[in-house]
Amino acid sequence: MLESLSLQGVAPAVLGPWVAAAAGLLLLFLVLRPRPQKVDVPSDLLWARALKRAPNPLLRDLLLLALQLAILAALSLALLEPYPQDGAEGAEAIHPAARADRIWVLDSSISMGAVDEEGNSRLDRVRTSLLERLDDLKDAELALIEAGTRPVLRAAPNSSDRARLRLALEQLQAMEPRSDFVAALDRAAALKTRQPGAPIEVFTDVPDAGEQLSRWHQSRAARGLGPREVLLRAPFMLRPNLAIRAFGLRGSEGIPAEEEAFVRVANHSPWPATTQLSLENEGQVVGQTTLRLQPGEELSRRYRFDPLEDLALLARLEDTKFESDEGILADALAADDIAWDFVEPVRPVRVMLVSEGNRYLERALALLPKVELDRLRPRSWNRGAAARAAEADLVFFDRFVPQGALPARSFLIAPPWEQGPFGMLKLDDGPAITDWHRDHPLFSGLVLRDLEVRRSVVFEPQVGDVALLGGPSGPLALARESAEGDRTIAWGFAFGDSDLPLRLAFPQILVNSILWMREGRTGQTAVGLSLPLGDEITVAEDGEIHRLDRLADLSSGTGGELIESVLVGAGPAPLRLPGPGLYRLGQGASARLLAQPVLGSVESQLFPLPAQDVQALPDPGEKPVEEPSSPLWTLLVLVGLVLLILEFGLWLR
Amino acid sequence: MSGEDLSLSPDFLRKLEFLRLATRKPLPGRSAALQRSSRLGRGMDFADHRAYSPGDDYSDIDWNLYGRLDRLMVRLAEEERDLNLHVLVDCSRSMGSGGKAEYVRQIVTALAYITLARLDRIHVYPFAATLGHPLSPPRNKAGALRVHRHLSTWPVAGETDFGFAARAFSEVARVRGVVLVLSDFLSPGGWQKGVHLLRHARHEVALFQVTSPEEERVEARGEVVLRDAETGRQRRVRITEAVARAYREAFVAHSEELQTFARANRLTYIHASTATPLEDLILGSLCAERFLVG
Repeated sequence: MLESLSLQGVAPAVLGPWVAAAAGLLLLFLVLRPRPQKVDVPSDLLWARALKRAPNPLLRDLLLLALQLAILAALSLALLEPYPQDGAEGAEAIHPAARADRIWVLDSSISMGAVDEEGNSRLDRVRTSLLERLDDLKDAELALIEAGTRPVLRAAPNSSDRARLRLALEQLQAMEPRSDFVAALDRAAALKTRQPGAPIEVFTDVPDAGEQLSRWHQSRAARGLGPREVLLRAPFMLRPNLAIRAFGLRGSEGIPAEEEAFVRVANHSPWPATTQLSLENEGQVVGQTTLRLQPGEELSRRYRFDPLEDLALLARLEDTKFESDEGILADALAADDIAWDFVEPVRPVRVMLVSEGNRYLERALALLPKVELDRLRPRSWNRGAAARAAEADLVFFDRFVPQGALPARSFLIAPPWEQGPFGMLKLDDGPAITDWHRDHPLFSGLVLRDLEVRRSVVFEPQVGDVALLGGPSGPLALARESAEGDRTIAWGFAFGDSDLPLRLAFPQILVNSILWMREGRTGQTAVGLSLPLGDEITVAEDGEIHRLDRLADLSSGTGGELIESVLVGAGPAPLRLPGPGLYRLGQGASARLLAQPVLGSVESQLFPLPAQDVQALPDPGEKPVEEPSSPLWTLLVLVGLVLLILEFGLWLR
Repeated sequence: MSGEDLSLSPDFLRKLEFLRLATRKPLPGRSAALQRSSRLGRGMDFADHRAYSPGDDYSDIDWNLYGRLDRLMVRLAEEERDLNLHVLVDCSRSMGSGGKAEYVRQIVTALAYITLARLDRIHVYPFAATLGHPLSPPRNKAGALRVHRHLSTWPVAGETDFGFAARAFSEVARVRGVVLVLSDFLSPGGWQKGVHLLRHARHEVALFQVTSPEEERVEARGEVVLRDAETGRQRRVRITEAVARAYREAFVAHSEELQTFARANRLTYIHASTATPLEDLILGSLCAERFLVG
């Protein structure tokens, strides 16, 4: 019979001495009890008659002792917490509280923030269910692992630490870039719990959770580890989502200089959707479009703005509606409906013309929109001019070559003989132009044929020079790019010495020249940095404690509305932002602005849900564990109580 | 002699003088007293014959009758004789509790005063396991004092064997009279045989059961060891309400047994509790039972 019992309570070896001592005390109490008072009576005769049917008091004492020992035995056995073995062969009897032991693994990735029609997120739903189950599982040992980018043990296996568990559940947020499902299972399996192999309950919406679980089991088996019971729960509804998959802002290199924003929106649902895409800069809408996307479709849009002066551009999806079979549905995940990028201030186009006068060039340049033209006579060329020239996107030197080094972006028009950095072969009258470099950016988008040139320098190209156009006598125009990235064009003939100004290509050549020269030099460093989800930055090694503020927005001058603030240690140290949003690291002049939008993340894909071995959340009223019908130890406690009542009643008599 | 000497109030003594022992039948006496006796003896009036017993006076033999019947017969005549009151006082150890001994002493003193005041005789016999030497005081009131003082010297000891004592009494008591047994009648060997012996000796027997409130009702509760005052036997008892009730019933049954026995055998039975004042007992109960008359 003993073999069919499982003792889940105090160890017999520990309990035995105490019970023996208690029994000894009871016996000693019986032996050393105060002797009754002696009373002289005239005669024992009447007492003999009166006590004919009365029990022997010694029998009463012995009966009391027997009851006390029985109570001691019953309560001692109850402390052992015996449980009958399960009927199955080899099955272990498990303490009912131990049966309820659980390791909870909660997915805290962004997709768990998807809300239902009542506005409750997936994480909220799981959190509410688990909080309600806490009271039902008051004797169970519970642990909580947050399954984000890496697993974090939020509450250790300790059935008495309910407050910490409750707080951990309430503080969880769906902000992790992804959920490392397998790492969380490994962490859970490694926990030491009261009951070896306590079931792991996983709450996740990872689409392939079932497959990952299968592979995990196989991996454990391959490593010689025993199986673990894992309950996969995905009590979630399929919800539609429209997400900003890509968003970027950069200064354009075109003319005029502009900001260019690129937005791509994706429909992660099986239904058509419409949405309002807005671009905002400091609360001002700078662009707005209504988009309509078919199921699974992605749409891209580009927007150009005059150069923006404020810090960031915000893209936002609003009023998203999904035309489902059951009616209009709202967007389920708000985290990917907003994105930020920092403004890259665009430098205006600056052109310097050093010429005694070149009406063709001046008129053509005047026609270009928003080009700052700085005219200068050759005789006024000096250091100051050279400094200004260094800031220009392109400097035309019309029949003039300055002494010394040329500015980094120079266009020499008909340079004087043997002046300038280009070698010259000869002056050619009426050169035939038979070739031009069609693939060079200078000639992008144009055709140049039968150009008549009255007189031109024929250049002697050096290694690396690119002939832009030429003829039998040689190249009449060269382009050179130094190792430092300086670009120079040498045009062998004055525009007025050809019919080029009459050609439609002329302004385009000028524009192409400017663009080629501006290439890579249009913008300035943005004041902030946009990080992909999960990426880390390095905190500077300056020995200071930095403060990381999460901001609601960026307001010039005020620094934005503070949502929360954390302290990060002195650098150098990698820092991973807590989740999507706008941040400021540090304060004052050294502060760095950071943005982490949800772009192109699998978390935006709320379809499909895990399909294998999925169980719904148990209702709060249901008990997830079957209690044994009649555990022995409770029966023993009842027996002990009954005996105690009997003993008390007998003692009173 | 004053009431103080007898531990009795003068007023009580005066009342006692009006009392006398009442007998159901005339009892013989040797001296002339104030009691009408049914003894047939040398009185003035011939009453009857009886067979000759060794020791009878030869002058009482009716020779004429002998000549006729060839049988020795003595003449009997009614005459006034004194009463003999034999008081058998239980002096066993059981009487030492509850003030019974002192109470009995007062009773005997009072009865002695009553008896001696009327020039009757009183013989006081202590008994326990055996019968002690009797005290027969002179027939005057002063004899009561002697009885009172002598009773004080008698030890209260030993076990009770009333049967033995009664047998011994029957052998020594030559004169029939009233035999008053003052006892609690808690004799291990029983009391009925003894009483029967007294009856068969043609005494007028009165059973005087003396008890104390302590033995009438048990107040103690809990576990006690009862020790029999006479035998020393110990009994461990847990006195509960039920046990106390059972004892009370046993006590009442004992008293009722005495009473029933007395009634059945036409004996006088009197129950006296030490809680009852002596005057109430003597002037009340004893008169009510017609043991004493005024």
